[in-house]
Amino acid sequence: MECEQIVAKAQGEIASAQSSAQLDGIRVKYLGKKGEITMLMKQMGTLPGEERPAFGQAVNAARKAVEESLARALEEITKKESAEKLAAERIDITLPGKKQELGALHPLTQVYREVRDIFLSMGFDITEGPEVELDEYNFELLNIPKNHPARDMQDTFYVSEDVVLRTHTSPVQVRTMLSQKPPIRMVCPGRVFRTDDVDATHSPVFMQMEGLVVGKNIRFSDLKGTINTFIRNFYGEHVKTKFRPGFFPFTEPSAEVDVTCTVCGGKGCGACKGAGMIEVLGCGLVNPVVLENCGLDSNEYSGFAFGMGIDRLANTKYGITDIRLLYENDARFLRQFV
Amino acid sequence: MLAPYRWICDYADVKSDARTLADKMVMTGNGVEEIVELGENIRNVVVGRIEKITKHPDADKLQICMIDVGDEELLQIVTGADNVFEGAYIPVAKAPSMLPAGPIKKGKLRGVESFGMLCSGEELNLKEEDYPGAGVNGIMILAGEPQVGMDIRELLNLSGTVIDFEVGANRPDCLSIIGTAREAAAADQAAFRLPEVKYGEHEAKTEEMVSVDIQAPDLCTRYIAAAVTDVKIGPSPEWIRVRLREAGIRPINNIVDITNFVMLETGQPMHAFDASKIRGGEIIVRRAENGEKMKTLDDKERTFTENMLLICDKEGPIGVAGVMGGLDSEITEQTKTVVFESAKFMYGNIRQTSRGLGLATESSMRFSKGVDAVTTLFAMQRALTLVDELGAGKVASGMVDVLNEDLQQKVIKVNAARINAKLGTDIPAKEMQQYLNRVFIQTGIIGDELVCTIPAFRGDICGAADIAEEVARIYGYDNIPETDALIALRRGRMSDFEAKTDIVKDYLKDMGFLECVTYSFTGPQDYAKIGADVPESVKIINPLGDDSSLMRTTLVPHMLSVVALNQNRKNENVQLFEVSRGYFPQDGQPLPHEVPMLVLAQTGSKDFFDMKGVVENIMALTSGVEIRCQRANESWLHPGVSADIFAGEEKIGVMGSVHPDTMKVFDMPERAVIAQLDLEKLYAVAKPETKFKALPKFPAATRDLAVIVDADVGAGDLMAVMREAGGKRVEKVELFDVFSGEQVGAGKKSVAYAITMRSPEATMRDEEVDAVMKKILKVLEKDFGAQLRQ
Repeated sequence: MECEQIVAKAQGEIASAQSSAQLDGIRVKYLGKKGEITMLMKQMGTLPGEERPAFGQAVNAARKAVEESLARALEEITKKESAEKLAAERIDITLPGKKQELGALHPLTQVYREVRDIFLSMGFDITEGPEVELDEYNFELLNIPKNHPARDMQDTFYVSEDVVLRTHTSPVQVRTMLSQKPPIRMVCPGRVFRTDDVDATHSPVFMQMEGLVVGKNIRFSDLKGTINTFIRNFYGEHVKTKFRPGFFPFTEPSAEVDVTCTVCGGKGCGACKGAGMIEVLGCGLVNPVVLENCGLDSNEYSGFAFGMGIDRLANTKYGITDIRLLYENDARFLRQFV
Repeated sequence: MLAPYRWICDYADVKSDARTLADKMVMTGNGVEEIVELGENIRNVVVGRIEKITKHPDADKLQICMIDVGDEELLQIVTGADNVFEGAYIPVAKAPSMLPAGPIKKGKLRGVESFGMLCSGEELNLKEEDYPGAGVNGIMILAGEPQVGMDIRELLNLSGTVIDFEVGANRPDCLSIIGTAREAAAADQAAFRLPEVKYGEHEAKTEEMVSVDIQAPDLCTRYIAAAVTDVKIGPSPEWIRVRLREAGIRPINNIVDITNFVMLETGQPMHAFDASKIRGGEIIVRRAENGEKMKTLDDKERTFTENMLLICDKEGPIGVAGVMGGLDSEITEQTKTVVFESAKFMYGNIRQTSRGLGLATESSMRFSKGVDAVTTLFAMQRALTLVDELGAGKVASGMVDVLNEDLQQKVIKVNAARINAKLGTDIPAKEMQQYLNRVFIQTGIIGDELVCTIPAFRGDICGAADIAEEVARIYGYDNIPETDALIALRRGRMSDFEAKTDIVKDYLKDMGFLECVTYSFTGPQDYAKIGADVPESVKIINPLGDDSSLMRTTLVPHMLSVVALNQNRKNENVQLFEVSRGYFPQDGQPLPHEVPMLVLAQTGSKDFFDMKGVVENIMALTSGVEIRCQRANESWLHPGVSADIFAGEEKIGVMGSVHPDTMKVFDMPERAVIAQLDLEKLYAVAKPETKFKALPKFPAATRDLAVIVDADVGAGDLMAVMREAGGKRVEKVELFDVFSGEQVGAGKKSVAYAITMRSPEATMRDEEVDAVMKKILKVLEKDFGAQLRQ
């Protein structure tokens, strides 16, 4: 029968089609307005009445068969074409990403912020003060009168008889005690100055952070607790501290604090001169003379103070052995701290 | 302070070895700089006896020595020295061995084997003053008949351990072996004893030879003089020389050695005058006259000012008090009578004099930190004891002792509970008493109160806090508990300034900038380099150099140097910033106004507008104020590519491309854009709190406007005017085209803007939009002579 032949022919063409466009052509050829199967249907009017139903059924069956074949083929070819397109879009995923080059905060800023955050979380306020300072605040009220031997501990730049470049941030503590009633809990960061010639371990300008707590019944044991909390937060829980008696004119008793060497972990190395510990901090109970100098009754109030070099913390944290790198500002150095 | 371990052990029955002792002393507050092992650089050097000397067969100047070094066989060593003889005892470096100058190996000299070297004194680091015979030119010939094979270090006392202590400014008493031994005894729980004071006095009387007149009792509270007659100048005995050498002082002669030994032992500096040089037999302690002169022991002429204290005789100065003696009254080989001085000068004055003269000595260092008047006498007694013991002369009877000080010992009473309250401890009073007694503070207990008698050498102890520290350091800082009474009830606060600076720094970091830190110092040269006059500045009296003699008022020169450094090191496309202070002197104020500033630099492909964008964003992040640029007139900036930056009427900074001339001065191979902002002014306007605004409900209308204006009209200035002229309906004005050329005419340019308008109430009708555009054009025509471009 003619219908069957057309279907067979159409299916043969469908099977050999390679693209959705070819399939569309086949669809037009057989099922389009002038398609072969469409044309068959149009012949129906020429047939005698009793043949028509059978013929109609046969043509419809043929149409359906071709339609189904087309649909199946189209699905397959679409899948294949989509796969080919995706394959063509394949990229080299190992090429580098496109980005804005990152900048970096100076290592001193990064360490300072870390230290700052620890003290903020412990309820310490951050206070700043002048870098060019009165001798009175930098020394005299801190129990270091003019020509006192303790002045030799800090080689000082003088601007006049009574004005110095601050040698430590302690004058900010003095200013705070003079202007604020206890309880006081503050840290004061900033630049300090000493007449040291520049070499691998000395810089005439460096950054310090000091702290002060004044209140009622503040004890040495509170100082130990506070300092140990800070050190464990900064260096890690595994780090051990050692409090040694020390001397500062503005604290009594005074202590120097060593921590486990960050380079060797305590075994002893060049960085810690074999001691296994490195000195990072000085502290003590505020000398009653200083409290009185600042207008606080030393029978009512007590307190503690501590101080550390941010440069030193940065050097121990990052393993920097030459302090000059911190102030040279070579981009290759700075980019290491992204 | 170099403290030989053996010397400490003379006064304290220390049981720990040197290293253990040092560790214990560190924990009681005596910092240790280092521990030095003497003689470590001399190894396998022994006493030898030359048995036989023969001439070298092939060299006239060499001899072959056969030496008994205590081994079975004699050692053959070839030497070039000509002072050796059979039977001589000499130091022999047996190959292989070590000498301070380097290792000694066996070798051949002109074909004859040599198994080591005979040593001179110099090769063992010894001078004649250290060891008689060491200075001879040739091999050192050892005195007597020492045991052959004995380690030379043992024979000559060359080995020993020396602890170098860091002495705090509060403990001048520890600048002495006795002070150190006291601390050692306290740390090691050992017995302590003072050295003996015992000497015979002769008939000559000190007071008949010398008198003392203190004319500056405020600067000298005790002066003791004692005479010694029939002085025999000569070398000191070996034990003194060894002690001095170990403590870092060269032996000289018996009298000078005694003054140095006593200074090291007691901490009290001493001086010895040749009595015959004290004119008029009177010692006068007085302030110098301005411009007075004298030659000191180091043969330098010194000129004094009126606050310096001098030791004088009837005719003039014979010494600078506490610092250095005069050359003319020095002890010489001919000295027959000596007057020893032991005095207490005020520390502040000696410190000033020493600094003023630029002359620091072992003596001035100790006086500057303070001596005590009780030790002043003890030291003199020790000196006379040593004179007697050494047979260096006859001690005259009596001393001249002028005392202007109360020697009553201080008594401090402290409640034990108060100490515990300070420390956070629970130490019984009895135990505190023991600790205090261990550090030589004799302490009794009355009730709960400690009654402490402070010895004269502990001038640093003034009150309860000091007593608490003494208790704490012997109790052990390790034993004090750790408490956390300081629980934070709130987070700490930081200033707005710091919070804003954090925002700025973080923004710059994210934009790819690297943060720099440079020194706060500057100098006239830096200002010259940017073509500026030196402004009124904070000047440093004692700067490290002329180029760092001022406190800076601008961060620009340092930043340009950093840019140049990076460009020359081929660090490309670098963006940099620094936040630091400028220092501006204020009339009538002792302290300058310190202004926080931000300096920015961009190199490589970045231009003026990249920098302007950064500055605009910084403003948006910190204050929300828009900036306005006016042409700048800075010598270091490109005149056509630079601007003063204004926020409102306030100039807050400057920015621009670096001037080509300035680039040359700073050795910048490539261009850069710089900006400097005054953060104080920049932060002056607080950023308004963010409040939500409803999103627009009605669509916007956008119209383009192109006008022709004079070429030097700022396109940005037009925008501000357009916004203002358009009123509240204008939402946005954007510049999208600028061009000049024949079409627009010479000296003219065309600028085109897109203007976005919106009403919150309804969609704007065309008539409304046209009205706004008309208003804008009218103002442009009027204010800028703008012509609408058709």
